[in-house]
Amino acid sequence: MRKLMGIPFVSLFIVFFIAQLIFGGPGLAISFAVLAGIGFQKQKAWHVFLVCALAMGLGWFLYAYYLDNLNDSILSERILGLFPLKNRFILVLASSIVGGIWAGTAGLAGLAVARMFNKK
Amino acid sequence: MRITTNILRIALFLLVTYALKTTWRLKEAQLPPLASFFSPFSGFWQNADPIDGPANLTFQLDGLSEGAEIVWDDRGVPHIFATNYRDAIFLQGYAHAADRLWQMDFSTRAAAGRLSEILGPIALEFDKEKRRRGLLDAAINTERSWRKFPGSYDLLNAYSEGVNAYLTTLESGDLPLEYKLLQYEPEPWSPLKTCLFFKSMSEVLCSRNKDLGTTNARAILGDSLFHELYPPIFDGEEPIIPDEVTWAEVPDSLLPMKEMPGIKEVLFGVKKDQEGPEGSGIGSNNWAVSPEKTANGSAILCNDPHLKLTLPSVWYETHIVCPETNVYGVGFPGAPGIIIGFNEHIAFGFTNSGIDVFDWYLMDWKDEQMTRYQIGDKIFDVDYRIDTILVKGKPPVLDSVKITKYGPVFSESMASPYRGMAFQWIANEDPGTDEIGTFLSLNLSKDLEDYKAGISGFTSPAQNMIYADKAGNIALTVQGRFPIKAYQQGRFILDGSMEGLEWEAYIPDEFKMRTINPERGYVSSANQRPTSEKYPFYYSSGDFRPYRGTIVNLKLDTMKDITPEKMKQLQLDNQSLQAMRLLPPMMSRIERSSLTKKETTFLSELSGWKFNYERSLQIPILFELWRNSFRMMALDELTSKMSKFDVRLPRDWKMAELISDSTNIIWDNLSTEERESAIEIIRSSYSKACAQYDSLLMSDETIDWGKYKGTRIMHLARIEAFSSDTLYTSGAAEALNAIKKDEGPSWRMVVEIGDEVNAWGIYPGGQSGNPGNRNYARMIHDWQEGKYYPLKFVDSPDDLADCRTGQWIIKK
Repeated sequence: MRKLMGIPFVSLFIVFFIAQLIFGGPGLAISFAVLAGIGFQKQKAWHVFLVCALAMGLGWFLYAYYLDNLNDSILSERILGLFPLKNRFILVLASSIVGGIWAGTAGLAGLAVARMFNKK
Repeated sequence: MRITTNILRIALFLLVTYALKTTWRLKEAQLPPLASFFSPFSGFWQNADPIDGPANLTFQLDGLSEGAEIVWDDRGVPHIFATNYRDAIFLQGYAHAADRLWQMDFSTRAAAGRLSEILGPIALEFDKEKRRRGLLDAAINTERSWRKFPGSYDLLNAYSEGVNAYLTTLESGDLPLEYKLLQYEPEPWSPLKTCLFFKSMSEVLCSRNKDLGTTNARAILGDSLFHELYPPIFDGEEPIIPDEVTWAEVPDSLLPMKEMPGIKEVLFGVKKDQEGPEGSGIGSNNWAVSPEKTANGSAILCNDPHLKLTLPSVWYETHIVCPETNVYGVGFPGAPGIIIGFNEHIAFGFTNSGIDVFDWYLMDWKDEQMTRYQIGDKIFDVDYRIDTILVKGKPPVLDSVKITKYGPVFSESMASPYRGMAFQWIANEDPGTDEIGTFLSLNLSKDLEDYKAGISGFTSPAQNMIYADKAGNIALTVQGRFPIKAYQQGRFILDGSMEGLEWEAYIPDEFKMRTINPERGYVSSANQRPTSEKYPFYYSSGDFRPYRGTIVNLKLDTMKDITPEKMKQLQLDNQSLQAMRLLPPMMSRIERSSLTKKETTFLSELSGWKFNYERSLQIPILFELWRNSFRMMALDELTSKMSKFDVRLPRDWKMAELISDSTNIIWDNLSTEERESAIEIIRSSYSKACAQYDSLLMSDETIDWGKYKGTRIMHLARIEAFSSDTLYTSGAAEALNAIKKDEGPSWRMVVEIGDEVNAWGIYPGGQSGNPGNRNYARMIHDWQEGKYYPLKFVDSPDDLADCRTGQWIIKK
């Protein structure tokens, strides 16, 4: 786990972030998460899930938090009315969980594909 | 085992992907796919506009003939500095799109009957009704007509190009929030969409009519009592045009039929949405006072149009500076030009004219399928218009609309009171005039002659167009196209089998209802009847409202040394002539000795009330409860039928007069053996109102008029989270400050137009249509508190240094 939380985590965080900054939607970043899973096939599955989820989730958390601060939470107060959520921090956290879970399972899927084709 | 685990992991990913990319329902809302919506890189977080306002930008736009500049002030108002009028209109389109794109798109889709495309089957009936009203066809015809006026049409094109220039810069993350929630994308703008917007305004402003309710009331009451209760004009009511205006002789060739045309003496059943006793509160005030009545010798013009209050607001403030003009005011997102505003020479504004330009005809069908009908001794086949309605997630729906000589058949449903009726509506007629040029030329006008020429082509929705200029002239014109009608034609559902009921000619220009510099020193309108009965042509009320127009005249008559501050106070005046006329005679008929202790206390509070709907008062609640129970009891002949029939009730103006005629048949309660008089009705309705009031106070002792009324401004698509909180407002439907639950002054403007131009304004909303922008609902609180903002009417960008929040340098 320690291995993954070093350079691989930072690299993933940067790759995911830049991919989304340039292309907008999360599709490309999710594809990278699948590739990361393939690359991390020798690691434990929950480690792969965690590193992909954290790299994506942290990016979403930080960016959402940044935008919310620039906006003085005017928008998040409105959006809270659409969801059964209590405050803006939970909304920011919910965003990062959505991104994190998706990237984490994408990493797991990549890992699974790699292991199915690599019988060693 | 290992293979199973791996397959499960892949399946888990696919499941999560499906869940995050699928639409979900939560509460009443349909939520978009969570992944794209929550992503801060493309979802709703991208709509969190920085609190500091728009950034300083330099960019290039195709379509401009020269470079230009937009300075955004601290309320988000764009001040457009361009080298010619066309470029300025182009940039107005660009600014409208930047702030209000979704509103423009949604409102014009609604008018075209295309909401099913984005909302699915839930909007199908709404779309069918819009299409049956013919808004889309009317817009297509009108757009074709406007093409004949290349000068104005070019500006309309410039506006469209500006909107589309903004669309080309949009990326998915920049889409307004509502697109992300409803999951669709904007389509290019075109002049047709602007036409659709105007048709939707026509629907709001000039499709209102009470023909069905009036016909039913007459059928219930009989002709004699009906005419007593529903006079064309009330004693003491002030028309818009003073009687000093004289009219030319009407040539014989224009004289309409003398005989009253066919009126259906039947009750049209199946109740539609019943309005309140006095109908909708949509209406407006405007007045202008001449220099002789003002403190500093400049004319002052005031206007506050009362419309349905929504977020985003119906209005958008803009300032345009170019060599041709320097004009400031509000316009409609979706239409070029300033609609209500002022330039260096003149100020202009509008209220709605309630003249009835929407007639219903009950057709004489010759078969059950309603394919053939008779007029006179001739049989006609209906024409068909087939509408294809696209429905999200479903196959297209075909709807065939039958068209008669008069117009479309509104409904064939057994559930509609309008079954088998056709209608003729002015907004469906080809204007054949430079209608769009009205506002665009008013923006450039310099004097009275420009004003008269500029507005002459406007046909619908008819407006009371007010004017003041720096030379001290004031004027008011009831501008629109009005069919020549026989006496009472169009007041009731008409017998469509009779010949001669189709509109054939319109009231000529020489009979235009206009007043210029009247002796009394002011002009005013507030949706009342435009003229006295001396006017040589017949017209009926679509929705004339007598109170505000009369009270504003009563107040202006006594005012002198008028200042803009006094005019603001008049716009915010909460006193109601309706209460002033009705309450004293009601109270005078109450026998004090018969009252309980509480009723006596309440009556003494009522007698101290100054007819003022101030939000912190409790007593207006009692009056409103009493007024309602009084009307329900007194008019039991009509109100007892209201659960089944659409019935129009007489106005309180007449009811107040009738109180002195205590034995009039109207006071008799049909459900009792005895014959009641006004005294019994007033007494029993008072007891009932007191009981309701007492119980209200017991359940909430902090209740007051503002809380009771509970004004709220809803989002255009009725998304709760994007609507306002409940507001705490003064005012009432018949006070000049006509704030109701969801209607009211949608723009308050006071302009002092002299050598120096000073202006103030406010509307209940904000410049931005983005709920994530600080300017979305920013002005609501100040509007509620009766504040005004000074309007920054400057000549150059440098004059805005103290309020500038963003500057866009735009290159060609």
